Amino acid sequence: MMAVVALAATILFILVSWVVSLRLLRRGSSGSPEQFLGMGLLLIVGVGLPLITIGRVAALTSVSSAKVVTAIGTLTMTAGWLYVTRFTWRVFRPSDKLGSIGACALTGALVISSVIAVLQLLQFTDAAQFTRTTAGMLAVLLSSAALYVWAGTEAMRCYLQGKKRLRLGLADPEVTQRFFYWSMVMFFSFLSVLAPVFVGFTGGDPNGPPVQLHIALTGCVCAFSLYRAFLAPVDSAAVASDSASAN
Amino acid sequence: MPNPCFDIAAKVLEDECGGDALTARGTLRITLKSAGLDAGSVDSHQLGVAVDKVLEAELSSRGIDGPRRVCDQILETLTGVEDGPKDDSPEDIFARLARHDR
Repeated sequence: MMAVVALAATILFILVSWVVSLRLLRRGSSGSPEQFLGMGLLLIVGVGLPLITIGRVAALTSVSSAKVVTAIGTLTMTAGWLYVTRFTWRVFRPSDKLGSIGACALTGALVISSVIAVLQLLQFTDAAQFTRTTAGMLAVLLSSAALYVWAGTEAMRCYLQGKKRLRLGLADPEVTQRFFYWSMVMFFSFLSVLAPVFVGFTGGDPNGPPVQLHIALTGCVCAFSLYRAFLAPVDSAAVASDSASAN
Repeated sequence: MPNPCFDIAAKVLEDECGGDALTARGTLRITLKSAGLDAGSVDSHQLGVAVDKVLEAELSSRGIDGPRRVCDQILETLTGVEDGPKDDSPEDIFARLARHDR
């Protein structure tokens, strides 16, 4: 039952990400924030997550196939995280020295850790090794967690600033609300990474049903927030009245 | 790096209130923060609104005489100040990301 719920939630998350990322990519020119975000979502959730899931299942029958699929999935997700890093830097800290340093540090950490993770993965010889988190994979997860916290904090800061501006008529309620939902996408992505990080430190199985259910359910919240951030009409009046009542 | 319109407003505030530059700039920064703005990215329109609607209370709380007059003086000085070229703000970009839904 737990596995079915996890699978259904994962499929929902993947489908919403496909819709959002393809819409963004259709409209974004090369080097635009739309392209960075669209590519990021597509590679992390649309392609990387399914590959990792397939790799986990494949480990039960063929270790060599599972290694290849999981390695490609890991590198694909890393490429996606690099796009989201670029998006966060470009949107929130385009001419800020601290933003440049943070983005470069994250890029370095993601690239180096994913290369190490893949090299360790390719040395696996039996299926049991897939139930342990390697040091490289742990570093990948921690790097992605750092990215999610950064991106979520930036969006939340803009949301809180937007609420103050609304009182003065200096902000669009709809855009303000979208910052909130994007920050939720990032914070729940961070939460989704916490479970595999925890079992990585404690020696548990990162592919076990509890971890997969946790990832799938936080993915569900991400899917909903992603939909509200970029697809659904937002209840602007609620944001405006909320802001007015806080005044 | 503060926007030029911020420097102009801070100078007027300093002259009108008889304080030092640091105090005037600090007061203006607090005003902007209360309005959800910051000195590095604020444009003259946003600054004008913050001065008009927030600064008066800020000056009153600091015991400045004639706070409305000071605000009006700053607003008058800001009239006609042209903002330089500006990067897309996060708001501009997020408005664009969801544009197709409108």
